[in-house]
Amino acid sequence: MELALFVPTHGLGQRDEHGWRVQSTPVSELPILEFARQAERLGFHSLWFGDKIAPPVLDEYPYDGTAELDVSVYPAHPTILDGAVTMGAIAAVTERIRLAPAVNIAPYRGPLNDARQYATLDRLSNGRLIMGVGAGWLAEEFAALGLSHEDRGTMTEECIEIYKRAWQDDVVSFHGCFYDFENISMDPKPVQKPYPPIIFGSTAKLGARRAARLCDGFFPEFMSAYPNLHRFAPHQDEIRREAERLGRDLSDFWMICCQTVHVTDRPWSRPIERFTCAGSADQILEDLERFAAVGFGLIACYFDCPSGTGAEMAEQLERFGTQVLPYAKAIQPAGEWKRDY
Amino acid sequence: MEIALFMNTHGLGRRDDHDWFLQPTPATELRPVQIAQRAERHGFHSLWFSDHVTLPLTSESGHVANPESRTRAYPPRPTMMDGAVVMGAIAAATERIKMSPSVLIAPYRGPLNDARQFATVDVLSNGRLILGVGAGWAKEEFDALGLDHEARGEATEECIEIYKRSWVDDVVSFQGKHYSFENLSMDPKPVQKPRPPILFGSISPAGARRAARFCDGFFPIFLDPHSDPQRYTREQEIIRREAEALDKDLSDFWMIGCQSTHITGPDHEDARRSPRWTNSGTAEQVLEDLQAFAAAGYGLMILHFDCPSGSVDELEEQIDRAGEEILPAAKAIQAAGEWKKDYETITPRL
Repeated sequence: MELALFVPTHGLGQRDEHGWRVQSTPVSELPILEFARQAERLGFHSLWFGDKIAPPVLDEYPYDGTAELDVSVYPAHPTILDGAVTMGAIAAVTERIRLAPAVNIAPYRGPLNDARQYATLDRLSNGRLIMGVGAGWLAEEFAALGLSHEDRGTMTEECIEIYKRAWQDDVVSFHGCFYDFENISMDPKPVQKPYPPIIFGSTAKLGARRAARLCDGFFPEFMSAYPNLHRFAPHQDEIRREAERLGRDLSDFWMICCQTVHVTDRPWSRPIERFTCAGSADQILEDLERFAAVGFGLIACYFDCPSGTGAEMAEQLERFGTQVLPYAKAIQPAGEWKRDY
Repeated sequence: MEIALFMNTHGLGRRDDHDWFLQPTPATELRPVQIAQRAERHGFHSLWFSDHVTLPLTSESGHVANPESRTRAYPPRPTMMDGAVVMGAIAAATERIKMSPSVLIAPYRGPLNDARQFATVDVLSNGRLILGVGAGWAKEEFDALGLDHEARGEATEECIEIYKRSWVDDVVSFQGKHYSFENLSMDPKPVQKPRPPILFGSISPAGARRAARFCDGFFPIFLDPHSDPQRYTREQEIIRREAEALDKDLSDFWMIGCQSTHITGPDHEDARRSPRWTNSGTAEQVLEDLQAFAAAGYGLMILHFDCPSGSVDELEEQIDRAGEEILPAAKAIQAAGEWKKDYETITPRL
C-alpha cells in the first residue's frame, strides 16, 4: 500500500465523534512548501489538493465526504490556496513526489483552461501530475460562478474527453452540448504519454460508472471518525460491471481513497471508541489493513490537527512518515485493481 | 528607469522589417524557473507572462503586437505554458523579483477564479504580484471558450471591480450584468495591503480610459520593429483628462511599456540597419532608445528579446547582456511626466 498526503491548502482538519471539519487556519500556520518537502523526504507517494473557488459564507454546510453523517463543515471564512498555482510552486521545490488535484471540479474554470494549466504542471514537474477530477457538489458555488449545478455531471464527462484530446491531438476539436470548438492548438503536451492518469473522485455510484467508462481510477473519500469501510463495495461492483460490459481490464485501474488520520505516541486512551486511523502506529496499521482488504491500494491522508498549528502538522507528518509509512509498504491490497502505484 | 523581462512562456520573439513574431520554445528547452532565477540575479525588476487559453490554428483577428499590418504574431501551434502556474513555480524558486500576467485576459476564466489564483501567487511570493489585466482581442479564442467577444470590455470592467472586492472585502458580493453573486468568502487575502497593483494593458483610447478609471496604471505594448515611443501620447492625454475629472492623483500611476529588443555587437546588421529597429543594436544604441521611451513618460520597460535562432540559449545570452550592459545604465534614466517614479514599491497608495 502507498500513502499520500492530503495537503491542507484549505485549512487544517479536525474530527470529533460526529464528523470532520476544516478549521479556519491562517496562512502563517500553513507553510505548504515545507510540508511538501517534508512529505517527499519521508517517502509519501503523492500530494493531494482540494479545489474550491468561492465558498458561500454560511455558518455551516454539509460536506459530501461525510454525507453518511450530518455534520461536517468548512468554516465561514476558510483559507483556500489555489491548487494549480500551489502545485506549480511545489513542482519547483521537489523532485520526485507526485501532485494531484483532489479533485479538480471540472466545470468551474472550463476544460481548455484546465487542460493547459495541468499540462503546464506536468511539464514543470517533469511528469508528476495525477489528474483527479470530479463534478463538484456545492450548489451555491455553482450559482456564484454562473454555472448550472444540474448539468455538472454531463459537463464533467465532456471536460474529461476534452482533456484527453487536448493532451494528445495535434489539432483539437470537440462538439458537445456544453463545449464546442474546432481546430485549436494545445501545446506543449504533457510529459506523460499518452496523457497523465485521470482519476474520478466521487462518492456516488454514478461517479463509479463514470470512473470505469472514462477514467483510469476511482477515488472516493472517507473523512469521518467511524467510516463504514464497506460503503463503496457497491460502487466497486458497478465498476466491475461497467468494465465487463466494455471489455476493460482493471489491473491498471486505480482504487484509492482519502481518510483522516491522527497518529499518537501511545495507543488510543480516550474513553470513546477509537477513531479510524487514529492512535498508535500499530493501531493505524491495523486500520490500513482493513482498507487494503476492501481494495484500496493508495490512501491520501488528511491529518487531524486539533491545535490548528503548522507545528502539529509537521509533527504528525514526521511521526506518520517514520512510524507508519515504511510498514504500510508491505500491506497488499485485495482485488483485481492496480498494484504498482 | 526599471527594466523587466518578458518571459518566453509563449515563445521566443523575432522581427522582420515590418512585424514581430513568436516562435515556439522547443519542448526540451522549457525551463522558465531557471530563466527567472537568471533574471533575478541580474536585477531585473519583474517578469511578465502572456495569457492565452487556446488559439485557433489560423485567425482573422489582428494581433495587437503589429498595430499597422495586424499580422498574426503567433505560429499555428504556439507552445504556451500557463502563466499562473508558472508564476507559482517561480514564486517558490526566487526571492525578490516581481511578476505579472501580461496581461491576464479577464473574461477567460472568470473573475473569482482569477482573484483566488493570483491572491495565491501574491501569498506564495510574499507580496510580489503585479496584476496586468486586459480585455483580450482574439475573437476566435472567445468563440472557442463560449464567451461573448463583443461584451469583453464591459465584462472586464466588472472583473476588475470583483478582484478589488475579493481582495479587500470580508464578505464579497457583486451584482453586475455579466457576474452576479452574494456573500462569498475569499481568503486568504493577498499579502499586499490594501491590494496588489492592477494595471490595464491596452493600445486603445477606450483602454486608456479604463486604466484611469479603474486601475493603477497603463501598459501599452510596442513590439513591432519601427515602433515610436510617442505612439500613445493620445492615450496619455486621455488619462490626464480622466484623472482630472475624477480628481485622481497620477503620481502613483504606472506608465510602462513593452518593447521587442535585441542587443548585439557593433558589426551586427541590427546595429547598422537604417533606419535601425527600435531597441536593436549595441547596448549604447538600445539605451538611446530607452531614453526616448523615458522622454515619452515610461518609467518601466519590459524587454521582449528577439531570439532568431529559436533557442533559449540565445534568450539567456540576451538576459546576460542586458544585465551587464543595459540595467546599470538604465537606472540613471529619469522618466518624464507626472507618472509614478518609484517602481521598487509596487503596492498602490489608496
